[in-house]
Amino acid sequence: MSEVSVNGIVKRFGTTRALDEVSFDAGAGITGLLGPNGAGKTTLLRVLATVMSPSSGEVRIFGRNPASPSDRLQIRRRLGYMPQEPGFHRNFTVFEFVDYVAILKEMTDRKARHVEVSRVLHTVGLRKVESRKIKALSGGMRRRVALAQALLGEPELLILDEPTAGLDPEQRLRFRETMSHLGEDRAIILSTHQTEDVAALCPRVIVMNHGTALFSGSPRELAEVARGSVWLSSERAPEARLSYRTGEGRYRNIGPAPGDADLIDPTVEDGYLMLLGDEAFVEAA
Amino acid sequence: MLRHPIMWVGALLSIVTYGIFTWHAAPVLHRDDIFTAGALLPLAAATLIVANLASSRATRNATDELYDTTSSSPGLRTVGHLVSLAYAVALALGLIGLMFVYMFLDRPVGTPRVAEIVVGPLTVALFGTVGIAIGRWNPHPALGPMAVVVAGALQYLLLQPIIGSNPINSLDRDPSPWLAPWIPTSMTGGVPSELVIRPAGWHLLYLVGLIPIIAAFALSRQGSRGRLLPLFIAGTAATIMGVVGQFTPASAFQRAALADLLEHPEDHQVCEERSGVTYCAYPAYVGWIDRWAAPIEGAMDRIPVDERPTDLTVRQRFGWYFEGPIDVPEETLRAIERAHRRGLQDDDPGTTLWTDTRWGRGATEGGYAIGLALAVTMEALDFPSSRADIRPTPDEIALFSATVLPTIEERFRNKTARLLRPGRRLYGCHTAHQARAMVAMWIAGQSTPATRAAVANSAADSPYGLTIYETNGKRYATYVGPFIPLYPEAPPSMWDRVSLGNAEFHYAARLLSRPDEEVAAVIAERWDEIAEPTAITETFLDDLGLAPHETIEDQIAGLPDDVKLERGGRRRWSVDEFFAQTIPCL
Repeated sequence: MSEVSVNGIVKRFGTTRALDEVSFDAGAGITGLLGPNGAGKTTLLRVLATVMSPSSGEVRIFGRNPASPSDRLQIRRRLGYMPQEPGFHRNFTVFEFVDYVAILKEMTDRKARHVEVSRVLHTVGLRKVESRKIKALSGGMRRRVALAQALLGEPELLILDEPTAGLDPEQRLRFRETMSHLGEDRAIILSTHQTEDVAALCPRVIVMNHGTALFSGSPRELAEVARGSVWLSSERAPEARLSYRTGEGRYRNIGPAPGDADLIDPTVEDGYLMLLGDEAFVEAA
Repeated sequence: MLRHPIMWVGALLSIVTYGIFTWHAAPVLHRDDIFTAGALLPLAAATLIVANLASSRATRNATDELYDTTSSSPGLRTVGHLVSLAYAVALALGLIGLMFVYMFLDRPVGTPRVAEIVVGPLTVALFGTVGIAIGRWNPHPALGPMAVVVAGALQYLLLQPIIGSNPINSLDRDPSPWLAPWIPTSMTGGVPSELVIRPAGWHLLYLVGLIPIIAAFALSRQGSRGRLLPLFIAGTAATIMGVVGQFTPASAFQRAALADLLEHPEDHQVCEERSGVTYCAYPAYVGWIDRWAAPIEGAMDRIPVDERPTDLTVRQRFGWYFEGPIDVPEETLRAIERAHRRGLQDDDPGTTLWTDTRWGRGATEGGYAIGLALAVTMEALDFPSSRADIRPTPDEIALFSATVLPTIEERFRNKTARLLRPGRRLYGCHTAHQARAMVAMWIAGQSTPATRAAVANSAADSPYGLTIYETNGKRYATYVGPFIPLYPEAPPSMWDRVSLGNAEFHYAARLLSRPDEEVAAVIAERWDEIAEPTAITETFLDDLGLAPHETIEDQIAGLPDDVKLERGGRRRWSVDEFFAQTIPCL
């Protein structure tokens, strides 16, 4: 049985359908959510995190229905969530904030709780700044604080909304290391704009746009969507949907084959762009 | 919650407030227990603000979404905030502990009442609950301080009926002040709590009932209103019962008991004899007999054995009289009050000195102690014991006219002479120029270290004939005439019935700096002369080793530079009034 099972969920905000008949299953391992801004990724993650309920459709997490208060409580006890824009109590120290969330997660034994807080801070590399006030932290560090609280209690399901936003390259690599380790024995659903993260981490990716799931499969399958459409040439191809000069001095074109061009293997990013069609190319340009 | 600096500012203000309430009064636990709740109002206000900030923090800091995914629901988190008020309540209890430590440092009397003590911590919990409820419904951080202002205004408005009026009488007619969290016995604090029928238990129920009502309101923000109904109903029932109980007038039994306490203190008191003097106190105040005995014994030791008052009883009375819920006719009450103000009982076989339910603490203790010592000494020196004694006989008038009258300024001499009609009962008398007044004040002043300090301080604060005071950072001196400067701390006998001369007071103050035994020897040797009303002070100065006072003009010239003589110069009006309304004590 999958940890997460979503079947035809719809979420309306007034006349807007933020989610439109989305269905998928997610089990152990990392599932990446890709999509442009406004695609519905955050709404979907909030539904999965039990922050909001769908207008229709069915969600099952650990086989339980989050619409039921008792089931919801059981789900939350096994869930870790990192919001897209987590708020902080700026005058709390790093340790105090994570400790406070730990209290809310029913970790009542003070000693054991502090051990757990230290553990998650170590995991995200914040032990050295644990006594620093959150208002004194950089944006990247704050996101790591948010990640740390999500890891409390070793949840069986981690829902991370753009966890790598604002992280520098080294931090991103460390994040991947952490996630790859965690993803071995639990379900992780993360949304991101970084296709490299998906390629590097996720055995499974879901591409969303306009509230619908356009694609669900492996990163390799996503890249295959662009097979035959990615070329390297010595000049910009005017008919290409996207064309840019690479560091090696050649142009990478996505679209119809230009003259005197070499067909190359597509990446996840190429597949993503092809999948989203003209809309994605306008955004990318 | 306790980490927030506002809490500690509130705690500090509570301690300061309690100090202000009790600094000058010897501790009476069944009176000062009422002040604990008043003193904790700053802490309650701080708790409201901090609880409000805590309960609204998640919304203000946008952490609600994160917290909502934990196993702690918003309702449970509200419960958590409510439970965290236990820390504030514990702090309040700790502060009450400190207050009692402060009281126990100075031989307290009486027994504190749980129902009065609990009001403070309950008010802290109530205000904290209000803060949480506001924070849950509207996270704006300004609402907490605004709620404190509203609560303060409500407290003030509800106490209006007992501000500037007879407190008990007002509470009997208008019990609305009991809707406020804290109700003092009066706004002056001078009313003995024994004479106040306080529905403290009902008030407690009223406060206890309000907390679940407001808590239910706070919790209702997250829904589940049906489940909150029992909490709301229980709170409402308790509040209504509390209000009804508070508003129920005192029973006839309670009123009669108070009346008896007031009219027949001897039936309720415990008496002890020490060194030939009987001390009678209400049971709660037996511990004060030591305080009363010290100045009396100190004074008695300086009075020649044959001249010491005999059959002396020091009896405690209530120093505050009002109609209120007491079944005592107004006329009787006024008579008791007048008798008390005279400080002596007219119809006792022996001599009864009265003291009441107040006593000073620290710097003010001497002001109270000197009253008893002075009363004993004045008995020994045959000052008038009651206003009935102030009826000059023809012989006394003749004597006064020949001796004292010539010393009065000429323009008032005729006015004073007209007052001197045989048998006329006057308001009081004065002892200007009388040596016995100087001696009485010296004997009283030397009776204990506290009385000695009280005289010295008063003399230093107001040099002979001058009162120095401070306004807007500047010090002024005013010539105020012959009254002694101990008022208002002085007991009734010092400012009612017999007005002791200012000049004599300052001679007595100077005598206190001379060796006691030398002064005592002169006084003992010339006691019979001194005891005569016609004995003039200046006659004894040489023997006592004193020089005459500097003139007022010389004193003014010698004032420190930072003291300015009040505009208008020497004000003689008080002297005029004084001599125009009274006569010398004969």
